[in-house]
Amino acid sequence: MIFEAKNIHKSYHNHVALNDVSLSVEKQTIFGLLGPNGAGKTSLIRIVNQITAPDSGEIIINGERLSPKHIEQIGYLPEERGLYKKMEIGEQAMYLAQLKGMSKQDAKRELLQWFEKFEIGNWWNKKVEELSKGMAQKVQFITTVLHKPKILILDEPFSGFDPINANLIKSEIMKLKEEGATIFLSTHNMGSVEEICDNIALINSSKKVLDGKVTDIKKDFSKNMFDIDFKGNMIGFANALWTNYELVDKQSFDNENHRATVKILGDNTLNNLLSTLIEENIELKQINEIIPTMSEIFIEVVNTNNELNRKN
Amino acid sequence: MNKTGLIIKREYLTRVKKKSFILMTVLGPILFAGFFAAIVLLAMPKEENYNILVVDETTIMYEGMELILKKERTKRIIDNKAREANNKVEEDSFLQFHEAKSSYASAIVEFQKEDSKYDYLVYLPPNLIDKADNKANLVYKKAPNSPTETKITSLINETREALLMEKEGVDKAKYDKIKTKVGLTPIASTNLDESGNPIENKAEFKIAAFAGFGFSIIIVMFILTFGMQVMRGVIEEKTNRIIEVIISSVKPFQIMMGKIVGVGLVGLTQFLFWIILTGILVTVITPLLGLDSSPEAMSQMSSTDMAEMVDSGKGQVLNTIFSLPWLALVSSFLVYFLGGYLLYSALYAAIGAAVDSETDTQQFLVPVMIPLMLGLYVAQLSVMTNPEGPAMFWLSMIPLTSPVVMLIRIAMESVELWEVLLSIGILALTFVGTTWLGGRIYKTGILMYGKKVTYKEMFKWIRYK
Repeated sequence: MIFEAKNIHKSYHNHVALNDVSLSVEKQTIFGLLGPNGAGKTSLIRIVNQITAPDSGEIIINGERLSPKHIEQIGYLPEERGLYKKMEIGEQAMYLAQLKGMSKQDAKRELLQWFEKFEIGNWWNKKVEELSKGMAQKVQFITTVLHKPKILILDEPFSGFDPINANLIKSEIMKLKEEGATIFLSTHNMGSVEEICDNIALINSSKKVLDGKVTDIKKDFSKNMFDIDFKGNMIGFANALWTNYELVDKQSFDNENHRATVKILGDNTLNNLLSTLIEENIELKQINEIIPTMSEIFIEVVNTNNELNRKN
Repeated sequence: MNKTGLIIKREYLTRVKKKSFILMTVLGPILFAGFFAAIVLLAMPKEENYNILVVDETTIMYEGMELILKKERTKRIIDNKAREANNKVEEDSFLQFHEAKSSYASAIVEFQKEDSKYDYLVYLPPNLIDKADNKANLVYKKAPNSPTETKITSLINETREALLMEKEGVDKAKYDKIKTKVGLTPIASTNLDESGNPIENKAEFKIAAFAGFGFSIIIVMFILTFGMQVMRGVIEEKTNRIIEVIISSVKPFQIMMGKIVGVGLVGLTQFLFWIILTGILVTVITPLLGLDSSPEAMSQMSSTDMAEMVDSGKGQVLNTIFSLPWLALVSSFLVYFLGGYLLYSALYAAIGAAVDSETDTQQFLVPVMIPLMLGLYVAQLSVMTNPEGPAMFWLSMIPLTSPVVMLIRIAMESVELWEVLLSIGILALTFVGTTWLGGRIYKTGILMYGKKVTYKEMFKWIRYK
């Protein structure tokens, strides 16, 4: 484990931001930190960045308690980010790199490489106010990863980018992971979570309510439902289903071609369903399991959790 | 380089490289000099020749006036001969008097003609000499400047006196003796030599006090200017949100101190350049203006002549300015500027951190400015009424006002060393205090958005972990 948070508790004046939150993150993975607005994600990120300290609990990085020396091993791209408008890009990037402990020479060398890679080599002497928002965000991304941090904390890294640049950033994130970085990704963009996250934790109302591998979570939340495309008539199909199965939804493409969404109840398996349908001479075309999206899981978990909180 | 050093460097370089800074640094002394010169020039009467029509109904006044004017002219010619070597020749009087040969009514008509050459009309009523409550009139087209008015008034009075003395048989020498007024010169006991004579070339305390007051204004100006710069810098970083990135690499207190020190160095740089440039300006311009600031030249300026007395007043000012305790003043200026700046800039930083935009700063800025303004105001009052009174003492001890007031006392040389040291000590302790306080507010405020901040809220932040 490169990163562990143990029983983190943080409260501000009459407001609890984090309540007994524990996390562990494996090296060289992308960890999705999810949760609705105001759940406590930013508080946690600020604690990891040592901007604030937890009231109780501890953060362990590589087996050591979090301390100022870890600042140089962490790269942080905040959600709300900016640059000095009147300062030249190159000068500014150099400044931020040096604040992260890089030497002047290293910073310059690495920066030139990154500027080359992002095709912004001729921007060095431009002022930030001359750049578009997307351009400025490229610079911000570079300054975040420049010092080769072991832990990268990216808060909504794709917001503000067009699809092409979003892809560029995505592939750079994957590359950084391959090179050994561990990445925290805090985002509301569930599509990108499914695409690149290995593990996630969901925080709601200052508590962790769900965590684990993305694939495991999706399996856990699947409802044993299938989309079945067939040829024939819908009434015949519906009659073939016994009480062990529930016809959740139906859809006709034309007179002959239909799709039925079926939930398998009790201990029955897909095989049982198939044999039942085949016995009734239904011509099957295609069967797909309905796997919930992260977005659906997010909404379900948060809603259930909020309801629970209300009852208590 | 450590991180605070990096921040100081950035804060300093970005500001010093700004066009506005370079412009202000170069133009500052020139602007000041120009401003000063403009005031002097505007206040100076135009040396135009004025033609004055005199309607003399006393029948004897005009003759008397001409006599006196003639005497003055003769005296000036003699004096000028003596002064030729000095190149300080006195100009001839700029007032030309003409007697109206007609009645008051027709003289008015003459005066009001469009092509009339007369600028003023003086009307002397018939019983002017005998009845003292009778007034002469000065009719003008354009209001007279004060030297003209003074000159005419004194000429009329002098003439009337001479006529009356002749009439009443009063001896002029005796009368002059009686008329002489005694002047009272305040001299500090420290400003006397062993035999009790005043030491020449020592500062006259009121002039010294005003010189010190000039320093106070500069300190207040610097504190306000550069304190505001600190505040704006903090607001810029906060609204830019770059603070989020920086704060993950550097402690908030280091960021704040880096900014305060960086901006402070900018202030010192500007001040240093101003001193150098002013020095250059003075050495270049003084000979150009034909001003001789050497003491020998000044001592030659004393004479009894009216115009000369103005001159000798100027001499005294220059004399005082040259004999001010400059070393003490400049060094204590630096100490009090730094102390005052550090004290106030921490408060400014805290204000910047607490608000979301500059428009929200007003309610917090006013209380910060009040002590500075109060210091200036009370100091100015005290200098005129009671320069060594308790107000000056206490204001020079209270750290919020001591940077403003102490320099006046140092300029007057009316302060003991222990007082200065105590005042600096209190100032130092207080700026450590405000920096701590400012740091607490800064730390919490800098990451707080979209909240309308109140004093109560700020007070809470101070107690946050």
